[in-house]
Amino acid sequence: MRFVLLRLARLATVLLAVTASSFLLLNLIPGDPTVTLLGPAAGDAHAKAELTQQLGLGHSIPVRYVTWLGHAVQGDFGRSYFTQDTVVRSISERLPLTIELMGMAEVIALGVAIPLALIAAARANRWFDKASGAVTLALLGMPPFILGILLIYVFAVHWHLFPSSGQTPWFHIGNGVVATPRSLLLPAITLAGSQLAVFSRVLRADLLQTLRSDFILAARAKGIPTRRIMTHHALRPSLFSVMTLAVLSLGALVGGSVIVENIFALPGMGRLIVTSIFKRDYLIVQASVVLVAVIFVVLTSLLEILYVVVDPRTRRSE
Amino acid sequence: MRLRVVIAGVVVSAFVATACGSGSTSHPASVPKPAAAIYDSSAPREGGTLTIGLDAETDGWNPVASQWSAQGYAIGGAIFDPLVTGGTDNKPHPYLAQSVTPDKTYAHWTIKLRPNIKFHDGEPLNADAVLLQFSKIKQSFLVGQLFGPMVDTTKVDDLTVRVNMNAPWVAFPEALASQAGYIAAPKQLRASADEAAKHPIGTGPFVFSEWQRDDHFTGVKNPNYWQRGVPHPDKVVFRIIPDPQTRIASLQSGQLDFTYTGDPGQIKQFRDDHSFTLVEQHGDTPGMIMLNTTTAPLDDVRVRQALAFATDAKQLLQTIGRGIGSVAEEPYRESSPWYVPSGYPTSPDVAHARQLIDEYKRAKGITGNLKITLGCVPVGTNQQLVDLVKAQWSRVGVDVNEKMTEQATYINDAINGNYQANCWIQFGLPDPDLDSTWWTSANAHPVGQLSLNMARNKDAQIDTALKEGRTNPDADARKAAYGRVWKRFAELVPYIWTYRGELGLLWGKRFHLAKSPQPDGAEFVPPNISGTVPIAQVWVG
Repeated sequence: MRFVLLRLARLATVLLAVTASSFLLLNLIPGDPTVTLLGPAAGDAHAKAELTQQLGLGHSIPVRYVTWLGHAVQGDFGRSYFTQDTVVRSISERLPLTIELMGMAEVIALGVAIPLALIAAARANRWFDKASGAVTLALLGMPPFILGILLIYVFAVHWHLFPSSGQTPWFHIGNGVVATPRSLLLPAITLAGSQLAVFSRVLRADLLQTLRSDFILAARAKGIPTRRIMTHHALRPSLFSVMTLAVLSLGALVGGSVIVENIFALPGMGRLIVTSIFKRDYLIVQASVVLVAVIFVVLTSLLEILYVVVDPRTRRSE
Repeated sequence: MRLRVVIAGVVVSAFVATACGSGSTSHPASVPKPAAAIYDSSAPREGGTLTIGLDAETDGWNPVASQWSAQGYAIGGAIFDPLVTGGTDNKPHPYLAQSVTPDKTYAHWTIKLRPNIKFHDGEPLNADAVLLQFSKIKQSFLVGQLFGPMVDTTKVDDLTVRVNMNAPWVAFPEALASQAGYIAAPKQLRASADEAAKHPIGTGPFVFSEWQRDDHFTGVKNPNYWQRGVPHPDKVVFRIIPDPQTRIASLQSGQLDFTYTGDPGQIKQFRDDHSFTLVEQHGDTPGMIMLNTTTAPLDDVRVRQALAFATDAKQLLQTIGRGIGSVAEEPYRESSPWYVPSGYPTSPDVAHARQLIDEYKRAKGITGNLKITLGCVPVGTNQQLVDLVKAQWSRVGVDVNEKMTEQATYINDAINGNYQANCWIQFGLPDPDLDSTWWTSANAHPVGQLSLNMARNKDAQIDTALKEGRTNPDADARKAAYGRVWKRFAELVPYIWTYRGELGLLWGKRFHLAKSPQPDGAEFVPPNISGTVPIAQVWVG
């Protein structure tokens, strides 16, 4: 109970800090939604003043923030200045696709990185280890847009195995679309590229450290096969860093999804955030920031629970 | 089809979106003359889905309120039909209208509609529907500017409307080919602004089915379309793919049937790739550096002339446009019927430019270099453009401060005069009268006031010529009048012309064009520089 209350308090603090700072930053960057909305008519001072009033932009930033916060805690995030859709609807249309994309990317990154690291660590400094090291280094150095275009040309243009852009709807969650895994595979691999490299290199290093432990020596002395030592004895205590990275990399995934969704023309949160920033559609950006912050805090809290599951000594140390 | 994108002139953002880069897709359409090989004379195949790749989203589908650029016209043309459209003969052709005829003075026009046309909701297209649209046009800041001369409209009979102007307006039919001339159903026009923007109801070949913003727009075949035998596909899907590499890859992988590119590198690539049809078209819309003629030192004509002599448009075209396109010297290119040599310097003359600058500095008692702020929108190749111009102007003793501004603010600043020199793309519409809003002294106001003549260039000779161009029905006299405008532009230099980019239209083997006539028997214009597809001509298979 204390654990839950502490986490909730932390969530509230983080949300207050994040929303206040993002509100301030958004309102400090140059640009004005009324100018975008009115277009050439923005030169008409009367029309501009009227719209400013309508949108509630005439008040000071603190007053607007408190008003927004008051509505937000009741679940009312307002309406997009441009589409007039509720912010909740706008986000719920885009969110499932981005979550699916990020989920697939995380699964691919972990699904490839863990076996890769296991084999590399078991055969340290041999050809496989060196080759995987070179590949992961290349992936680390390759910007997502290069990897994305490369994948498009090989798998979509040349071999026609996957679509080069867009998504094929699989089913709907509310207003949002969940795409078929096939149509998201290339973007997910693009998003997973650098994650995979980091996970694999970190896990390999941790595994090598673990393999030097006494309990591994004891296992070897008992004649337990290397494969079993790697998967049943060395892997679990070596997973901490990767688990932490997997959660902390959420921010990188959100950033990456902005690029990947643009390259692959996917209508997800990344594109929504970017177009909303350009249009100064503050309420959409603000709600998106809140959403990312909530997911981040919830996941880090889950991570702490997971630490205990993976290594009960963590609970004792607490 | 050429005229379909005419009113982009009213929507400034349509031009600046890709301001000053190469090969903008927002250019008004030119009349292309591609080889006959692009047509397929075999019997059209019915059914299938036509998929078209566009590079940008549109804000909505209300013809009198939304801001349509080339992409908006591409989709709008599938759902709506215009009262008038263009032809390969560069003349307006009645489309939903059976005829658009002036009286002797050209101050009163009669629009007669074709009978038995219905909107997608079953309502008939009649005089009441057109009158409602005209009343909405007059209320719209966006498109109302263009229809300034229109003072009132009256119903003559169920299919006839009379339009009265406050002065003769020769180019009225061309204006009807614009966004505002795409007739929407009364139900759509009477709906809330939000609803009207999201649920288009037209008379066009496809009925609105679905719009997922930033992803796709889908229309299904209109089974009751008033033109018999078309459209051929069951469905049309417009996909929004902003990244040019991905758009081209989607065409290559078979996900798209038709798309376009303004990237000179991609155009060169497809010249050698015969598995796709490439139709290259020079843009009509010139790139330029627009000067605020009311702020020092640009309020002095010598400085403006010096900058024109200092600017090497050929270098800009070669470096940024990779040589694909043509150097601009006035609003119309050499092959246009509106082209009249203006005397604008097409080659740099650094010595003369220096001389003019020195003269100005002596007169004003200025020592040291002149300082000018050059603004641009931070997209595409604009940074390259600014860097090159900076280098060119520095040779004549002008230091450039660059100012990159996001698009909406950029346009607003230009209209309010909060700039010195801005890179810009505009003009070159099918009839110069449609651009006159931006040139007349009546729309040039001091800095800080809304001014559609953004260069704030006031000149009695230009005003007289524009008036003649608007009111004189004689084609030669009109051309001569506009020639005088181009000449004054060359002398007063409110605009430093750069170059016109090129657009490559691309389609794969599934895409076929049938050569069918327009409703009045005129020839349809093939896919054009705006990326617009003559949807009634296309079949897939």
